[in-house]
Amino acid sequence: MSNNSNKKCCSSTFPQFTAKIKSVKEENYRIKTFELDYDLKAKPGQYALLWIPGVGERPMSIGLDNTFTVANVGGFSEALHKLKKGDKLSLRGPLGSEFELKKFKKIILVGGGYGVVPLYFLAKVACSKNISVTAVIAARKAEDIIFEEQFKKLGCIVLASTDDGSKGFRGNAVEAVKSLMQKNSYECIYTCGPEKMMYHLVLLAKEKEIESQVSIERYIKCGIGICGSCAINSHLVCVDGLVYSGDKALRFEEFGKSTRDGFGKKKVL
Amino acid sequence: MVKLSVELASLKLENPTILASGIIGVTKGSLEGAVQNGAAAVTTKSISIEPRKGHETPIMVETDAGFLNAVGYTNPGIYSAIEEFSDWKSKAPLILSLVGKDETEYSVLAEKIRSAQKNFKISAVELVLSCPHTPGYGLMAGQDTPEQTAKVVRAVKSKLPVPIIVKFSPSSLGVGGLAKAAEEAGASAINMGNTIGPGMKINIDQKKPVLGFKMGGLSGPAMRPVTVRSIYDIYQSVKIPIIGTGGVSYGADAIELMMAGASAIGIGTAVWYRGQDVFRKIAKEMEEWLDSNGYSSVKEIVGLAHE
Ligand SMILES: Cc1cc2nc3c(=O)[nH]c(=O)nc-3n(C[C@H](O)[C@H](O)[C@H](O)COP(=O)(O)OP(=O)(O)OC[C@H]3O[C@@H](n4cnc5c(N)ncnc54)[C@H](O)[C@@H]3O)c2cc1C
Ligand SMILES: Cc1cc2nc3c(=O)[nH]c(=O)nc-3n(C[C@H](O)[C@H](O)[C@H](O)COP(=O)(O)O)c2cc1C
Repeated sequence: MSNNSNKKCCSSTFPQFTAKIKSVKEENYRIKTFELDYDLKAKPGQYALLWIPGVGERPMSIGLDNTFTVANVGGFSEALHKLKKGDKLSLRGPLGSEFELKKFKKIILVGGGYGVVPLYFLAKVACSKNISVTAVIAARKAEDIIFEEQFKKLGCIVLASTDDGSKGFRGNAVEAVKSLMQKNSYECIYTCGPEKMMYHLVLLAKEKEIESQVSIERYIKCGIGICGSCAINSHLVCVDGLVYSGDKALRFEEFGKSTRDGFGKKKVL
Repeated sequence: MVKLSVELASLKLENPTILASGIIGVTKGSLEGAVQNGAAAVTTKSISIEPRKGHETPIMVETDAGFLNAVGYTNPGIYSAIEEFSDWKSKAPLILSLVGKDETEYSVLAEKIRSAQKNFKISAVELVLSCPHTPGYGLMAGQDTPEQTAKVVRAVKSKLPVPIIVKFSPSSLGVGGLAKAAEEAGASAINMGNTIGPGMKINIDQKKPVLGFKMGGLSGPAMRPVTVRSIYDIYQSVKIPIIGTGGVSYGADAIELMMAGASAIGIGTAVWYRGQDVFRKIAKEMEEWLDSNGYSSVKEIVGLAHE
């Protein structure tokens, strides 16, 4: 008698998992963190595609301990914000490249908006390796600053930076980093946030002859390098990004200059 | 030394692999990337007159040995596309894929291309009459009849001097007759073909269809037998060359489609299974197979299964 009952005819290469939400935490007036009961085995810098049936699927950075931290800004994020502890959430991932800590001893992380999510995850890993971490958290105004206390608890030096000066440094993140660099030196700048900010930080790193790593955001749909919506020059961010070395990013002519909308049309940054 | 070069209408290809439409081809940069990865010709994402947002995500979901997709012809429209794909410098032919609801729309598209700047150079246009999952187009609009096919081909032919490729789906009935209608109306080549279906995948935890559009076209290895049979049928009814597209991941798969009658091979989903350099890999595997089987040119195997 043959026993074929356990044979799988084809293995899945891009599975969708369904997890349960273990906890929901309000970070501020429009940002919530969702923790899953499922171990994603993700590395800092990776992302997942979250799916809410009947609403859609969106790319989200994976935060520390299987979390997603999401701003309520539109259709999908609003639907996500309605989910509660115990609700189901389906996802594909982890996807994409990761931040590399190499042999650095002293690093600086610069996050704008929800860009602090993967950096906080990175900070946790770096601190556990006794790397000295400085975190610059940039936002438009004081109430948009998130994760400040969490970074401090890890033992990081934290500088908040707001455009209007309502908290911490007054000005943009690049100026904040420059001010820190007057008295400190770092071996690498890690950054995730608005592309103009990242672009100028990469240039700053070059000027100071230190390394940099950036997390580039593009319009991501399929997540597997097929549909082409996330193109930056000849590269597809969804598979060979999000994280690139600053040097590599600078070789993309479009980096810091233009992006693409949901139709694939070029948009100047 | 095995010769891998093939001719397709007036297009000269260094090897038989072509990037299929809708696969990474949203920008000129990605098309250049495919050429760097070994594609001998590249096809753009299908372009309509007006911009189209396409279907809600998820637009792709895996199934056994393949994927379902329902992109819904997301594209920036013909004006932006002409700007995007202008100044094509590579020697690999650029094929512009066009999607219209009927011969009037196709005629407008052809007119826009004809009146574009001189630096907009394309080697061929591909007319898609076969999408299985977009309302108003292809299979969902009954565009896959010999009459509709002939009308559309004639409309474009009367406006544009470039070779016309017509793309069908194995899901259409009587593909031989469709191809014949395209040939008689003046098409230079047939692409067989598009995805099949539509199909549906339900996530049993959520108890809901996964795709945003609920249903989508099946691509990848699972569809290959249907592609092979459809190419075999078409080869018996037309003299113009056939691009075989559907389920090719390895050199041996490409050889199989060519034996059925294809002169060149479109590659899509395998970009995921084997990486962005899948074109180079497949061309190399074909070369090895041909060499060890005593062939000196890939052209010798076209249609062999019919002999
Ligand atoms: C790699 C990556 C990581 C991300 N990580 C986070 C995160 O950690 N936290 C967070 O709050 N948000 C994150 N986003 C943004 C998120 O994916 C959604 O774009 C956002 O939640 C808005 O979606 P919506 O449906 O709520 O709003 P909508 O009204 O649909 O869109 C609002 C804006 O979001 C942009 N957008 C919509 N869909 C996409 C898409 N598929 N890819 C890229 N941009 C899109 C559009 O430019 C649109 O203008 C990330 C995006 C990317 C690409
Ligand atoms: C995500 C995706 C988008 C596609 N978009 C188009 C399109 O815009 N126009 C078109 O003619 N075919 C489109 N196709 C069909 C492919 O060009 C190809 O015919 C089909 O996927 C079968 O080949 P494959 O098995 O090698 O993927 C698309 C396929 C996929 C998977």
